[in-house]
Amino acid sequence: MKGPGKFFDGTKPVPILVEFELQGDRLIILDQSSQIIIADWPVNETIRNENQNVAIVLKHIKSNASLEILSGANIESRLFSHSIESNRSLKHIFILIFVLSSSLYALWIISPKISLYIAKAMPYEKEKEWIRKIDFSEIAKFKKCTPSQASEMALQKLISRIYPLTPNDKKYDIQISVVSSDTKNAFALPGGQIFILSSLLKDAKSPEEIAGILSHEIAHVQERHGLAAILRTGFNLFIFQFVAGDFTGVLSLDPTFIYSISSLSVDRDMETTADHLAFSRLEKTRIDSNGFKDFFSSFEHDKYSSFFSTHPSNEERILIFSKKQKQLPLPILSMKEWEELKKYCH
Amino acid sequence: MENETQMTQIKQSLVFSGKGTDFAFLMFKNLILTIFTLGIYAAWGRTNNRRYVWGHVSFLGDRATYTGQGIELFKGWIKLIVLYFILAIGFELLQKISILFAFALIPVYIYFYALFLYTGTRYKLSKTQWRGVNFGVEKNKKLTRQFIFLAFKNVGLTIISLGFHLPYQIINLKKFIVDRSHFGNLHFNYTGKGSEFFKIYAKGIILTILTLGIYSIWFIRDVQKYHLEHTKIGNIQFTFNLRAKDYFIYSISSYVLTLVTLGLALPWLINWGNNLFINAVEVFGSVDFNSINNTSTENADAIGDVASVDYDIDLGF
Repeated sequence: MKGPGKFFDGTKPVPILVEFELQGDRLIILDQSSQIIIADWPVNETIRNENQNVAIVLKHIKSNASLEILSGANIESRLFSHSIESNRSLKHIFILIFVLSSSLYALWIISPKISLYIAKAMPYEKEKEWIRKIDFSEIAKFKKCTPSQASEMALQKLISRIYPLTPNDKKYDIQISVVSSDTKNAFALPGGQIFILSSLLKDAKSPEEIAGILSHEIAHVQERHGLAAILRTGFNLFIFQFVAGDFTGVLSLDPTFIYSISSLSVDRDMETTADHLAFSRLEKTRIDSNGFKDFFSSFEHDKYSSFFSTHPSNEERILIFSKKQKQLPLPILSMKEWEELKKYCH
Repeated sequence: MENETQMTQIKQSLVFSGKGTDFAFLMFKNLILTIFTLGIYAAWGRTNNRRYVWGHVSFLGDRATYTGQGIELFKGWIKLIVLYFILAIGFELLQKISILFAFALIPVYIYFYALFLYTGTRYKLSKTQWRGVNFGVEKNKKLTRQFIFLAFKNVGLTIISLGFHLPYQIINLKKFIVDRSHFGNLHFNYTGKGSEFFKIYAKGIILTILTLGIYSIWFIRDVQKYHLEHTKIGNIQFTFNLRAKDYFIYSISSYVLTLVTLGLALPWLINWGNNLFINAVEVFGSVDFNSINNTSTENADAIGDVASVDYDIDLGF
């Protein structure tokens, strides 16, 4: 197997026109004019320079010399099947890339579990201390309601039915606030702050709906879902920025920015857990869970409701709250108190 | 090709022979693998792109070669991540002691700007070969220190002079690096002067503002032309024959096509740009190729290169 080529000795920028010959596992290079052998390389000591579409460059590892073979010489497959060093390094690179990217994928998949584990391991006081550093400017845009005494009393009466009930309630204290907003929503922040938006109160059909929602949010606080969501979002952002090539972007998740927290979504597993715990709380205090069930039914066709954006389907949730309660439910508020509560932000 | 044994007179342009479609396939492959490997392949992707571009630039019938490896860029990237986080955490802690420590960021920024500029250029040049001989930039700690000191002095003067020193800063830093660059044992020499460059810069900025940005085409062309035509390698010099009209058409087309194709035309546009800029470079002078010896090694750390690309620190090599 023979062919023409261009030889560079690796010491001077002077090309030498050559003929090469493949003899077994050796590549013999002869000066074209004098036919003197100027190089004799074992083929496995050569590396192919990749991505040279015009010609193929074989570099000798030990001498830094190289042979350029014009494309079409029809010897590539034979030569490169011998290029062991090149294949070895390629194999190592692919293994490295495979291992690293698989690790990142695995971390990404288990990130919800890890973040929940870390969140639960963090002392609650530490979470509250951290949340105190939060910039509340976004929340401040919500106007805090100034209720009448009767409305406030109705709210406190409702809250006192569902909280505190369990030993966990003493460990994880909460603060509930009602703020004015056209959005029908409620959310819990890490550190035990629960916000009810006024439209939710206005449109609710019964105090049981509100009690159900609050029980659900209390479960999020006690299960540390908010903190877990922050950790998970931070991690996912890190992965995303890693993919995008800008690892510094992870610092853009500023935990002191309230919006980044209030816009975090907890996942479906967390929602289901919170629903089960809410049902259990309602049952303990003999509140009719059908109120909360009806609430889901009213949202069945309301695709714009942000409250349900990351939650399990309404059917699944209705099933949880349709379970038969052990004791007969007792009402939370009188009709008059309920009317007062609905006017909380008026 | 003849064996040159004596002084050879040269007057020939660089030739770029890349094809947009080939480059598009390469970029597409890099993109897919980068996404699939969650960003890890990016280092190899960048290396592939450079190999393609370098490998399609030829002079006197022989193509340049990029010998860098993806793994080197990847290691550089990891080092940069570690460095970044150490610095970020360090400053966070220092600022808790006193907010005044925030000012310490300025000298640290200048230090790393200079370091990455120098080492980044060194990496790229040391991984560039033509006819089997390496380009390179001298490497020793004393030179690096001198360069960092020069950067401190010039950036400081630029800040004090409210930016008026910037053209001098560019020339001074460029001269330092170019004068220490070499092809084998043949040294580069940069003859640009701050006072001349200041005029180009001042004219460029004023006219760019007055023409609402249109003059920037001529400004960029003039800056490249000045740098290139004041660079020598031994007795070899360069001319830069890029016509402003061609560059104007290219710039406008790039904006429009990028918008219209939502970025899909990018590989063809990059290829067009390479074609335009590289083919505009003409080399002339005399050289004895037999007197050139390959003295360089390819041993250079890629952290500076990664940082210089990521943070757009470049001297226009």
